[in-house]
Amino acid sequence: MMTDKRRGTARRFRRTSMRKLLNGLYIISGVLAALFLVLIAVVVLAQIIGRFFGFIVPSATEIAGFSVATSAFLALAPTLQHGAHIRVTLILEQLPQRIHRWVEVWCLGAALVLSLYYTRWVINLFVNSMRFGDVSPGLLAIPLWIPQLGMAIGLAIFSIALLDNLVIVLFTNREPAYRAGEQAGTAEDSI
Amino acid sequence: MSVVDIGLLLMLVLFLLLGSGIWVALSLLGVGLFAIFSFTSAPVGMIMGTSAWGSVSSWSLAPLPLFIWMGEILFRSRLSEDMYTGLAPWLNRIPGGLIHTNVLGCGIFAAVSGSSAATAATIGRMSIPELRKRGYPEQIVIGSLAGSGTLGLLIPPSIILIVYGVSAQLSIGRLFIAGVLPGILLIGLFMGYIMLWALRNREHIPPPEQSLPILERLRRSGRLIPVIGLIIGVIGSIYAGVATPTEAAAIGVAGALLLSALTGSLTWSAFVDGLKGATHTSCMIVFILAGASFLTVAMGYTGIPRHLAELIDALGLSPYALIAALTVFFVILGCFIDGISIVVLTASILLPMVQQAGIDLLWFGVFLVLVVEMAQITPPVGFNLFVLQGLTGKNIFRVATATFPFFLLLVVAVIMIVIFPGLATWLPQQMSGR
Repeated sequence: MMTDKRRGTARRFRRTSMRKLLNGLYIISGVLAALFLVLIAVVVLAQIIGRFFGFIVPSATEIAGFSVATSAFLALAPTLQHGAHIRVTLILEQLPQRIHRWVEVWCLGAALVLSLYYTRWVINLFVNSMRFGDVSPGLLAIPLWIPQLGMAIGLAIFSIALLDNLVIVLFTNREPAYRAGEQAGTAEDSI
Repeated sequence: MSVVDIGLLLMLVLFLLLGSGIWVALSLLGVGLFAIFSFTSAPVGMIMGTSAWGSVSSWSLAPLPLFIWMGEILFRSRLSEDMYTGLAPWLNRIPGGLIHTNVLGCGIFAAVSGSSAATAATIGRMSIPELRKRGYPEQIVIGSLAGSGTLGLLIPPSIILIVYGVSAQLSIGRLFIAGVLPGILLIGLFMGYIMLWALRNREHIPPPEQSLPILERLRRSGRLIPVIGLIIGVIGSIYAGVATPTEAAAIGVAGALLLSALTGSLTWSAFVDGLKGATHTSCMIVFILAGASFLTVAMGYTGIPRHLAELIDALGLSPYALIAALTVFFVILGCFIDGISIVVLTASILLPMVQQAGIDLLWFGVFLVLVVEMAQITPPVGFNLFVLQGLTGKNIFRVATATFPFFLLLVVAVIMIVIFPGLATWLPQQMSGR
């Protein structure tokens, strides 16, 4: 039989390990996204060098294009956590704390629904590409489902992150993860 | 419901979603979904999937993350210091003195960075404390910096021109080159204004410092040579047609890494930070583009853009009247939403109308960027103002008043490219075939 204290510890342990798991997930998708960004540069540079030395990088154009998509979608969740997705906070900032919280719930709820719907149809796209064996033009004939899978995974993790923040706003007194970055002006600095 | 009613309703929904604080990309998706669900019987989900895939997996988008990354690397390099020490000795004697380092510094940095706020922040980090120390009036220091920061949008490489080019399906290379002359024009206007201001306010300007001998000046400016090399490598190769914008961007990334490695500012943590920043920013923009491309398709189904185009045709509005109306509309819009959203919304809804009015889309891109520059410096939502607020600690309305003359100079620039459209279109016409 567990004492109250031990039960509390167990719950806290579950909570922190869940937290670690989620943060780990965001970090992994962020690192993958960054690697795909590097890949764009590497492929394009290899192609340029190849032109001088007379070799060609097969399907460089396609690989670079697919990497843009994969990188961007895998980065969705970490970018959210970082507060770098832009939104209009003009009205939000003026609201008193209590109302602010409920508007935040609306934002996260609506965003979650939209994101889940989006995820569902990108998965559909991926499934169809796989079923019909769609491939890219160009030398390598890359199956389209590969980059599409990356997009679907990125969107799924994004949905998880939105849910994560929704739970935080609904059930705790803490601010959602992206607020810190938003207030520091991360998003604004980038345009 | 008539098309006009539908249009107004959709606009209301859009402002509701955006205004309540839903992320821009998702708001665009939301409006698109609402439009298709309510007014058409098109297979909405399928459209969503294919538009997402079609819009983001394209070669023409590849320069976007690369140019963002290049800017992030240089932002963390010693460039800020080098720019100031390299420019200051030459500007000492002309009226307005070192204030011109803001304009020229931003102009040069804009040619290696595609972002307006980053341009203002990079130059301001060094020039604000230096100018303050010498007793230059805060007002003009802040104003010139916020104003010149917007050069980042116009002078290639420009993130916002890539966004426009991808949305409007124009050649990014030509768009970049179209921004060059108007960018130089703006630099001229800004510097001219500063000189006039300095002549009229002599008592507020500190006396010029001891001039350095010419050799010393050259030695100090020597640090700028690598940057100039990078600019020529990137913009020059696009203009000469030897490289596509994507290739130029990749070379730019390599050059920026090399440059910051040589000056000793490329630590592992700076590299990781830069890459992280680039990943986040390009993700944010690509996601907005994905949302916007779905909205474009959805709008096509509702027939609103076509209807708007016909309306303009029926009204017999002259292009000048249309441009005037659009300028006012965008400036008001720019007080509340950011530049990227303005550009993607314009591409989704207004482009058929603009084309119908016989306006060149390349020229329109430059016009749009100038108007977005104004949006960057109008309160309450003006990103350059936020940057200056962060750098100086002054409140946003003081920053905005200081910046107002530069807003008017942007209006002058718009009027000039309307009167002389060749400013934007002549240079791209001279480009070699590619």
